[in-house]
Amino acid sequence: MISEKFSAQRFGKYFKYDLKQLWHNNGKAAIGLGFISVICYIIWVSFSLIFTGSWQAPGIAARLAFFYLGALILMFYQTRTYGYLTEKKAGQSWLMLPASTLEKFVSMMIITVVVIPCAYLVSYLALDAIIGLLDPTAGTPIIAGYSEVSEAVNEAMSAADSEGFHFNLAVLAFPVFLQMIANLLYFLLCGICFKKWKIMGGIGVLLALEMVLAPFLTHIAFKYWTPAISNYDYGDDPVLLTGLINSVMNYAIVIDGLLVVGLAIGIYYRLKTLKH
Amino acid sequence: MITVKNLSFSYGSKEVLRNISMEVKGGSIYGLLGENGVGKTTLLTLLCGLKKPQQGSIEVDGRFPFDRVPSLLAEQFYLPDEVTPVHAKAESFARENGSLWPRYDHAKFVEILQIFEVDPQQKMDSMSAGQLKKTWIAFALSCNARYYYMDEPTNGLDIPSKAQFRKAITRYTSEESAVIISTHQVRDLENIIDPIIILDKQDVLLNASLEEIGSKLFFDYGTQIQPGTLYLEQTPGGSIQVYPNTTGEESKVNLEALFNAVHQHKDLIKEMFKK
Repeated sequence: MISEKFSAQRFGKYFKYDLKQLWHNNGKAAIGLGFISVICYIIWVSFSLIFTGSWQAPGIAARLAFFYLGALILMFYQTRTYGYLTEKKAGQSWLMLPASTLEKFVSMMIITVVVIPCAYLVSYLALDAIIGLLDPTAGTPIIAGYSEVSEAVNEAMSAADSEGFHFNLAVLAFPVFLQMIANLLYFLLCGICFKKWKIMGGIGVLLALEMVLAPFLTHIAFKYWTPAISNYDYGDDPVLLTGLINSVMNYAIVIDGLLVVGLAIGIYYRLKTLKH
Repeated sequence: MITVKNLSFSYGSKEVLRNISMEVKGGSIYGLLGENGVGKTTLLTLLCGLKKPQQGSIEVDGRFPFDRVPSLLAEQFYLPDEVTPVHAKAESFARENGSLWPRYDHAKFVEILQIFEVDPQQKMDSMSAGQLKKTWIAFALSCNARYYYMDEPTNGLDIPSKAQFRKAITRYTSEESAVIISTHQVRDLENIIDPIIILDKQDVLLNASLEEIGSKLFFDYGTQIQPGTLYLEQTPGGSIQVYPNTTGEESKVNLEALFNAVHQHKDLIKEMFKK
């Protein structure tokens, strides 16, 4: 008997369907967002020609900044990916599709956290590589520069290591990764909760939360953390400083992990209780 | 079978359905009639699980619609009054969506579209309202569901399309299917809907087959006015009268006259059809 909660076969069909809908609706836009590399490149070169009279392409640092700009737009864009669920007609059709809420939720998570960011990443890097190939003044494409960046990070880690700072790169990077997922899920949740003003509503809620929580967090920080930190001279003691940074990062992993889980539960609950 | 027990639903302080109880059996095309705002659409959305009953219960073959379990979703289809103009060709839309319904039949979809004279290769968001509605109707019928909930399906259809709809609905629904059609256009569906459910504000006034209605009420199309008439309407060619059938004589049920008679004599009709 096929499970009412989750069936791999039914999920496979639904996920395939969901991917096709993504392509029809918003998927092309995620790939199209990769063109931000070309647009920024053209603007940069045009300004260079106008103001300096010379052809000067953006370097790898500027192109990385454009990449983050695109990622920021992509984060807000998550409000649109499944934003149609709050519309009466499209939302009704979606609710009546024969798949369980869990299957729809898992598909939504994969598309939001994996498919769309990967589509953007691939399209951006590919276009950036083409720019790098066509214009030698642009320097190393980001994808080729990855090994240089990685090497630089490893060198910095080794240098820190020799000074007695023992950092774990995975621990340092993981909170950033979790934060990215949390941001994507937050705006996805806003997209399926707010009927209108999805992005502004999301930003508004964030600001309101910050206004409410900031005094409490500041109070906790001053009461417990500041005295603990000021008792030691960390600058002189690499072991203590390493321990402090690692413990802060571990806290960040726990908090961000809880945030991701909380947002995922919120999204599932919203799908389960959605009415039209 | 659909069993509705003591169902109540409100929008804020506005009560729409109060203590509604009824049964819907397979093998019939039910006509859900009622004035504007009596809760026909609300009832349909509750039956298919788009809304959650606030009081009472709905069971469809022992399952609660609002749980939205895949096995029930695969056996039902809700066709709203206003349908979505999908950004895809009708044919590819049906193929992709149909893959989720276990009994979906694509050949049937193409066949019904031919009856409706709609091009399967046309993009749905470039279709007229009528063409779009017909595409959705064709898709709904191709899903081979057991339960159909259709809200004003003939709205937006031209005169030939209404006849095509009647043809499609009778030919392409299976014998065990239960179809509930909410409509104001009773003349469009007069020959296909049976039984009739008449919903009033917070009450079911009538839930009976045409045979049962004909056995209890007589529809007289003559010119001579009868004593004890429940409803009388003058028409260009004579009149329509509805009065209790005391002789057992057969007559053709006129749905508009029936609706008006029921509304003018709610308590009497409820008592007559009490089971």
